[in-house]
Amino acid sequence: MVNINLVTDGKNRESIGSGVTGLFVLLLLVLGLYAFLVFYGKSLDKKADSLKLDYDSKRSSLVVGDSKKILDFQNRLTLAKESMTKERDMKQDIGKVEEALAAGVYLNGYVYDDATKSIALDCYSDSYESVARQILSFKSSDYFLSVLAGETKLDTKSSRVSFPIILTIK
Amino acid sequence: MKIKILVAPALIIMIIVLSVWFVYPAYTNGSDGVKEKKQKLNEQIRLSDNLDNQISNIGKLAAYLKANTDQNAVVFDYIPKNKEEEKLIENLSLLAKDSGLSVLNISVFEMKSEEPTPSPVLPPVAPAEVATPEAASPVVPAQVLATTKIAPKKVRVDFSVFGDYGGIKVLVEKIQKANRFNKFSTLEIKTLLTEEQLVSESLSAKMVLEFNYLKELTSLAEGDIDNPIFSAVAFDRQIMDEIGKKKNIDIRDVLPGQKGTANPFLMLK
Repeated sequence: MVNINLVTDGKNRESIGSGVTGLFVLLLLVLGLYAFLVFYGKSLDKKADSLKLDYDSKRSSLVVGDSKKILDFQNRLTLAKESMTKERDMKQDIGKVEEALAAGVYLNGYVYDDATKSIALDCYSDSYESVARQILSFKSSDYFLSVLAGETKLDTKSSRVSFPIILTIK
Repeated sequence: MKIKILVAPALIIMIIVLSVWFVYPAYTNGSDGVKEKKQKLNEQIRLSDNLDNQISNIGKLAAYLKANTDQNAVVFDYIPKNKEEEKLIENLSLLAKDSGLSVLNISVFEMKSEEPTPSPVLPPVAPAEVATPEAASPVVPAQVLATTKIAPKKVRVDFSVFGDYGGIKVLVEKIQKANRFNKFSTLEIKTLLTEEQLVSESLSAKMVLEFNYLKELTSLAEGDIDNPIFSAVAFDRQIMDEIGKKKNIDIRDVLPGQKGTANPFLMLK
């Protein structure tokens, strides 16, 4: 009959015992880590609260004092920058009309309208040929986006032709 | 002996349970774990440093304003704090006289205010960059706090003169070179003809001019502190130089002159 020995030897018992101890140590480490994380988290909260208080008080102190003057000046600079770009050179507009005026034509009226960026001219000429040359002259200028000629009228008394032209500026 | 056998697996299970259900969530859980708290704290430290920088910049900018009052005057002349309609009337009249023209009308009207120009808008930023730490939830535009809008008031001046063409051209140029912002809404030049005349050198010019002014800032809104100027160490002087170059005709102050009379219905001489 074969003998079966169910009794563990001393070495195995020791190794099981040290394994359990190791697990206990690991458990303690895990518990320690958890405790550290909880306390560290609370300390971070405290630091964050005190920083926030400091931040808020500094921030509210900025609302008074010199910052008002600085922002007022900066607002004027911002507005000035925008305004400078909006300003049109009226003298240049007039100059371009002068340059393009054909012989035999003169103006009776000049109306600039900023809303439509257009110049409405009320012109007189000595002949219809001059009217045609005038329209061509404005059309050949790069300064004007569009040239719109209106109804012509012949004044038989003075033998002159009146005609309107609307110029749109680029 | 049987209990001893169960200790090891029980410990392993406890370690796993503690690690998964307690330790790891305490480290990071997406909202208030140590990792997230540390990130928020770092963000607060960054914001705090930025604020310290802003405080330092404000000191520098304020010192610059104090030291350069005369140079900065060009900006306050261009966009004054008040309407100053008396100056507009006096100076337009003087400019017309200097151009050899006669004044027919100078009338000043307050215009309806337009929608205020929004302050420079900052791009949307991620939660980590939001100004107040507790507002760090979804992506939020930086300008969630109220800011002061730039709202200039406008003044319309109806101005009519008559004289020759050369004078009108000179006047138009002088108005444009005046160191206060102005815009021609309309300019109408017409000949003054009698019934018999076909041509006349006498012209009338009617213009509608726009001027503006910006009331001095009396208080700051909470969001104004996030204005980019407080992150800068100096003002942009380019526009000041440009105004100085293009606008070289001073708007003169009005002299008060003699005043006080016994009979207000008689002209004081």
